[in-house]
Amino acid sequence: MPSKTSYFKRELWKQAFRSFGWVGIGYFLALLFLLPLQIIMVKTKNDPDDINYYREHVDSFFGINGDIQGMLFLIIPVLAAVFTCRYMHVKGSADFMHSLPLRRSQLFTHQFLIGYMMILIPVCITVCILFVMSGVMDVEFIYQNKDILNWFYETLTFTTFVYTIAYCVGTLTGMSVVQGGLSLIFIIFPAGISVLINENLNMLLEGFSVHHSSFFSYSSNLTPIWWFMELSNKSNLEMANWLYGIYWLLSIAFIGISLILYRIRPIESANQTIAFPLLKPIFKFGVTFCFMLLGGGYFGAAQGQSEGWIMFGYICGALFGYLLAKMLIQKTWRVFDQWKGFMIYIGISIVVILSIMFDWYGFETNVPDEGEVEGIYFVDQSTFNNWYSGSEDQELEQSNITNPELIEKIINLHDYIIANDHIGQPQGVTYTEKSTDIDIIYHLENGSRLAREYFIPSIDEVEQYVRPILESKAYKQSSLNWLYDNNIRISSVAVSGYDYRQRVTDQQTINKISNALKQDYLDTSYEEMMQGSYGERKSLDFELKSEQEHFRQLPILDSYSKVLEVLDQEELDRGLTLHSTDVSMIAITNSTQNEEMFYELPHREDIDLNEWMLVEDSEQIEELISLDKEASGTWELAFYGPYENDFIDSYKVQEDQLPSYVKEYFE
Amino acid sequence: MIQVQNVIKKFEKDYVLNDVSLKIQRGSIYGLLGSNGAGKTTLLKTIAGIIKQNEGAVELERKPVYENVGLKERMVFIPDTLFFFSHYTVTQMANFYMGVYPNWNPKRFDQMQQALDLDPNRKIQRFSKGMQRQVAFWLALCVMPDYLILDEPFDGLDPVIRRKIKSWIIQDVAEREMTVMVSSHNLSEVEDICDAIGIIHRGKLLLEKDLDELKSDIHKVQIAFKEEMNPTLFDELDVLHQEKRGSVYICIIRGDDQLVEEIIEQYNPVVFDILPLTLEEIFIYEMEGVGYAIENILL
Repeated sequence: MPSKTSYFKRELWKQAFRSFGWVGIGYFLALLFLLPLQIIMVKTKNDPDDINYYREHVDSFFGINGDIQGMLFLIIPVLAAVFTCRYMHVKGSADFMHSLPLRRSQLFTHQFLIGYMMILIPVCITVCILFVMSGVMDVEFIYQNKDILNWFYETLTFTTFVYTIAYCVGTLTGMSVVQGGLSLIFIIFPAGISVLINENLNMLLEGFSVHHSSFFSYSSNLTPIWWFMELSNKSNLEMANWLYGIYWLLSIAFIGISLILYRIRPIESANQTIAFPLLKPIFKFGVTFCFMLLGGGYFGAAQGQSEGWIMFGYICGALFGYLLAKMLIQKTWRVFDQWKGFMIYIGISIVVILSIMFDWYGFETNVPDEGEVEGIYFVDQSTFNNWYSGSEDQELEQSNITNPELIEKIINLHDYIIANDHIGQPQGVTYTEKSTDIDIIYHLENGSRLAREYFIPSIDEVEQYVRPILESKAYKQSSLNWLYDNNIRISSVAVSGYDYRQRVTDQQTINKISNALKQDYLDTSYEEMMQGSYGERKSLDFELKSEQEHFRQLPILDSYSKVLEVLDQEELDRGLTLHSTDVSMIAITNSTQNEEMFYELPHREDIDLNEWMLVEDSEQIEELISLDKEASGTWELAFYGPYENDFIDSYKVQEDQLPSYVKEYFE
Repeated sequence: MIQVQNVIKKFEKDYVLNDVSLKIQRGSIYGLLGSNGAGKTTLLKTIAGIIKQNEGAVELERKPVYENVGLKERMVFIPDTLFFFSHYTVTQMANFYMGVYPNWNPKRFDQMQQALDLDPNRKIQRFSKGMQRQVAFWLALCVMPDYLILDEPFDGLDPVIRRKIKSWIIQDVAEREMTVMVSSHNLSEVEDICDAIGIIHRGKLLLEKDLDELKSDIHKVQIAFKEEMNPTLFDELDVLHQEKRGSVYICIIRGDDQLVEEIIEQYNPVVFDILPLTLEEIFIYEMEGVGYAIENILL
């Protein structure tokens, strides 16, 4: 007898729509209000400011309520998956649905597609509306047809990805609440776990570089929330095309896994936290592990990375995670009877953690031989010119130090750091004027990369190694690569003085200034570089024509003769020199004795006259102003204007530059 | 024909079904008896193809039932706790069944509606428990199933509805040779419709009997003699149970009734009666034979 039934079961669709069609309808209404209606509102209001804003700043539909769209990307697919999977989570319905004459794969296909329609159809309708709108009214200033298709593709990529993850979790668990929670955890898992592992390795291993751990940048790319958060302050998703491909591939993989799991899923597991007995220990110890890392990370961060507290955090975190997982699995809080698994876990963990702490794998002592090193990317984070964002991969790919002599210096520095226990340790970090972080990224002959990051409590101690590196042309050029890179266009320069600021947009003048700066910067001394940008009141503010980080600020040092000359010629030097008439008081102190004063120049009324000398006589002021700045000096001069708390500037001079009355004052 | 062979089902480490085998002939009604937690529901769900056994075979018409759409189209499982989609009316539910089961019989649906006098456009969840049970049978029978699997179908129903439902079942069995499996924890609830009975206890099938055979095979006998009784009499008979009240012996004897009569007559009893046994009595004595007290297993 031929079967008269078809694969497609209309009644399943009807039933599903009746019970949770509201998810799709709600999503559609939300999109309707967020996009088409918003555009119509802008259009009818016809405010030139608004129109200008949209023309200039909105590059895609994510520029219109992007942050809310990002939230919906997360909430709607998870909701859709939770409700479509509900038929297998409720006992009565699970028995009923699986007693029907339907194959499991058929049920899966139906349910999966029904849920997927909840996120697909609203987007499709919105796309149609947007197309119609662009046909009947002038919305060119907001979007073009290509933007609609981009938005459609990007939206679908994310919602599909989140939906398939949530659906996959649904087949793993027997409870809707657990499905919702676990789905969100799975979505942030790649970034979360890599942060935890990185931070913990950073605490346990001297020299471990969180910034250069490539693991993190990969895993955060795969965490959609990362991109949704970006949406709140950007108007477009700056996501590489291959990443979309990865998202789609992963989505397909999750569908496959879901189907396989669903076909072997025991129906009687409705109402259980984890549907497959085999997964229970994985879940239990996975949660234990994550909480262990979290506990160690928390107590490590809060207690200055003391090893005792870290261990305490590990044990507390693991205990908490273990009990929490057991409570979730057994659905009761009374789980205090079985400890064997936990004891074995703790035993293994202690061995692993100790092996890392005592560096059995030779991570800390691994310094490459000169012969192996092709080049090095070296960064001293204290110098004023470092804009530094950890994920700029192209920076890591190249070396800024290739000179064999300098490579030798860096390797010697590295050896010195390892040989001296008080340098580079992750514990007890306190930042001072002299402290700095040093990054060393070796590019080895065999093509691999070795990245280390050390905290240096006082740069003076390693000066002999660092000075030639920082003063080298190669380092200087790489540290201001935006200036030396001819492909980067500068759209404006602002010259800021003590009380005046002028903006230059003329390309010729900009070129003159930047060319002069390029030469002057190469002549900058080690001391001037180490001075840091703190307290420097005169600066050049560059605006770049690039995708990210538009602004760069560089101080104008007194030694920048070529720059000052150009500014003088172009009559841009107003406010760059301090005149005695602007200054009503100078405070002088010996900065070697009062290092912390550097950060906190006191208010006038708080000045301790044992440590500070106050000069208010105009002749003396004139004399002191004319002193040349010496970055390596030990005496600090602070200049105040006539108004209350009117601090102008401060700089250092050498002791022998000081007039005799100052020395007498302190004797 | 339903055939279950050496089925084992474990929930994690617990054996819920432990080596269960049974056979149900086409057109018969099989009663599965057992106390709560004996494994009745699990066995029924396994036979209905809802859950998969860990070991062994569950076959209908010599084909495995799990994931077999062709067989499941001709089978309906009614669980002890009824399930209907929320906010569905009888008509909507009927449409659902019609879309899923190919043998759905709309004529029968209308006929039964008149007999039942229930409003098909009311939400099922608004109905009383007894009415919902009737709706479940109404829908199930319109599927025209060849196999009907019922988990505690009479629990908590009043006698009128109980009789009504039983008559529907018997009618379909008689007319269409439908095969029925009914579970219960109460023997008296199902003894009037069952052809065969199985008793399940802690996942094991203790006993399986054909009722007609059972009733004709076991007898309660009262005998008394003038003098002392010759003890060889009991050696010749298969005596399950005996007791003496004064000079009267009351025995439960297994065997063909004519043969029993002939043997006893040879000993010239003064009193000799063969009395009928209730099904419950039969089970009590049978279970004694395998070493269980029935009170501990069934109510």
